[in-house]
Amino acid sequence: MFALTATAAATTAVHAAASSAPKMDPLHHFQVIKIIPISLFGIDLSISNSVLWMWIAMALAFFCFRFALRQPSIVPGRAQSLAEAGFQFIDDIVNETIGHDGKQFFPYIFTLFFTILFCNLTGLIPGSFTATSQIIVTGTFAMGVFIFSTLLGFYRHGAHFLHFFVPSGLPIALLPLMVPIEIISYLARPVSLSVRLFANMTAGHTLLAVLFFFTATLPWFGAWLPFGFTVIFTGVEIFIGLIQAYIFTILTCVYINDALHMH
Amino acid sequence: MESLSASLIGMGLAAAGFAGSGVGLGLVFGKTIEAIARQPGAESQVSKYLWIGAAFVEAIALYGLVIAFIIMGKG
Amino acid sequence: MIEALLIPIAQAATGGATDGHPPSSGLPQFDTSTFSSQTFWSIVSFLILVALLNKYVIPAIRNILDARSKSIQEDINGAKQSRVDADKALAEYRRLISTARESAAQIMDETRREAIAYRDNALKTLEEESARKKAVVMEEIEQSKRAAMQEIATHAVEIALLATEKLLAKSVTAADANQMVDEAIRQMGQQRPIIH
Repeated sequence: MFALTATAAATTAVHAAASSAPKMDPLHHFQVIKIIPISLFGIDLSISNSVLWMWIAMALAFFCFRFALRQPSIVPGRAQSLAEAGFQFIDDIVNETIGHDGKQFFPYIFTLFFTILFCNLTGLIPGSFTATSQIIVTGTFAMGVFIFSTLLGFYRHGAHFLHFFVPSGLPIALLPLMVPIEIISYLARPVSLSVRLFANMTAGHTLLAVLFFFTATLPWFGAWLPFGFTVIFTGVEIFIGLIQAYIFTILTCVYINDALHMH
Repeated sequence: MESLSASLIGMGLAAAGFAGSGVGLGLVFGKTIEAIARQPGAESQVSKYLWIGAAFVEAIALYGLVIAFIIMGKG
Repeated sequence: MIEALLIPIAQAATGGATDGHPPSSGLPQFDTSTFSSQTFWSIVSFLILVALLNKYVIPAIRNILDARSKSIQEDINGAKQSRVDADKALAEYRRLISTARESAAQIMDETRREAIAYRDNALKTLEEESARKKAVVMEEIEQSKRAAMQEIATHAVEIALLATEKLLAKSVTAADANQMVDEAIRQMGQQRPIIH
């Protein structure tokens, strides 16, 4: 939050020289900045603030679980109950959506959910960076899910998996129309999956940035209004972060289920 | 300058897609309230799907936002 | 005033706003130059996190849940076992009570029978006794009757002797003799002891 304020103010500072009026740039805090430049075989693999904050979020997730499980006991404490509730939550999603043969994918889905959740939530810390607001990060996860489920489908069903694109019970005449639609909708899965998460994060943070810009530039008697909105929207953003992580996870389960059981 | 104006108009039109999302959200919440009014016992079940549906509908609006941003980059 | 406070913080927080990126050139996310590093590190760190969670977190939680369900199962089994035990004990007690009731009934029966037998016995003894006593008494009566008869006979002889004497002593008429015999019998009747 504060960073967004700060960003808006900094933008103001940058452009104060160019023009007397402060200029709004609510997208500035999505800027990926290289921290440690690394280049391997001509490919840029430098560690940027995005990667750094992804690591921080992942480390936080891992150490939160380790902290909750530092003294595991049959009668759980508060932290352990929370960790178990998270575990149970993902377990329920996997069981309900995929069924019993979903157990083998549980670690991946568990990690996916908590990675996205902690990236979303740490992104709300002032001065931090939201890794999930980068389309390439969400796109990587979504492509990973897409490629994984497609390969799984072909591995399980062989060429029979192509029947997935042929809706059953349709007249033959409609097939030339329906099959391309099915294929396109299948190919649109990773796009919609990644864009949904990325757009939600970007839109929320942009809105916060705009409101903070107003807070920083308006005189004190006007500033309280956008500032109050930022407080409300930070709460909404926490909720959205949870919901989007949940949706990403449940759609991953649905795609894996499609690959396993073909409708 | 004309291409800039065109891109600005395009961005505004992309943002107009939010109207559809608004209608969708209204439908989602209205139907949910109807369903809960008819069957108050199913509230927890219904509200789970309510939030999933709301997130999906909201995402549609944000696709429009993304298109606006893409146009902004081209302009 | 707010800006004066925020600008240095802003520059510190965002790594400096003067890094040469022109503003409003589209969304920074669509800058393809950052894609390769982010893709690479996303995949690598995700896989590392999967490995870490799979090694240190998921088995730990699973163990706890398993242990808990095991202990709950044990509790349920224990409860079932104690219920079975209680049922068994109840059946045992019921059996004991019915046995006791039976034996009590038996004892009562026996006692009753014994009492009846005792009473019968006592009655018989009593009857026998009374019969014996009656017999003894009858005997005594018979004896005394016989004695009395004997006495009567004796007296009759005596009287006869007396009467004969008197007859002999003086001449008595038949009427006189009869009178004398009657008199003698009356006298004897007055002397006769009462037996019954």
